[in-house]
Amino acid sequence: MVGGFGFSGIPENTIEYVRSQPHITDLKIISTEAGDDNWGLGRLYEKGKISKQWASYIGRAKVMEQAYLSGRTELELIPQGTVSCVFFWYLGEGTAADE
Amino acid sequence: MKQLAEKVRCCAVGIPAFYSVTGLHTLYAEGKLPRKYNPDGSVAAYNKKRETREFGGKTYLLEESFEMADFAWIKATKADKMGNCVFKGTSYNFNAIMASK
Repeated sequence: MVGGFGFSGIPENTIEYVRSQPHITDLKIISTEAGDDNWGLGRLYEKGKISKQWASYIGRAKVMEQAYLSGRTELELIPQGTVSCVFFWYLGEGTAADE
Repeated sequence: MKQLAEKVRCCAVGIPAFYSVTGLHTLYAEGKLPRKYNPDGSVAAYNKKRETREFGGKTYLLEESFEMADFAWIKATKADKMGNCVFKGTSYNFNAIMASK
């Protein structure tokens, strides 16, 4: 999981450290977007380190787009949502409330 | 943003799935969104089709939470070795919920 939205609040120091470590590859990332070509997660896409990402927005990251369209990266797009509504709870399972 | 944030939050608190209207009546809900391409440009895999259910006459999609991640990369203004974090301004966004995973 990688925090941040747009260029705000992204863990840029961690990303730069991981980018400099050749043995770290095949990352599976949950993050709202893929950054830009030379900032954010785009820095890792440039090195081909990410094999899968769950994201809501990939608009600006050309390196990510190329990785996706050429089959190097798997992408699960999550729609940008509103407010979630009803939950499955396990708290009451097997009790009178459940029955 | 709520959809992705909710998938993260539910993973943290042990809720495996939740209902949402986001993505209803789209290719996303029908499982027709390309998830992976082949090097030649053809589609290798599509996303998973979502289950639907009605509540109060409205249709909702069943959205599964994320699996627990190995690491959360967080940006914080201050942090200690116990993992307590202080966020500042807009960097509060996804960092707070991802830190609580």
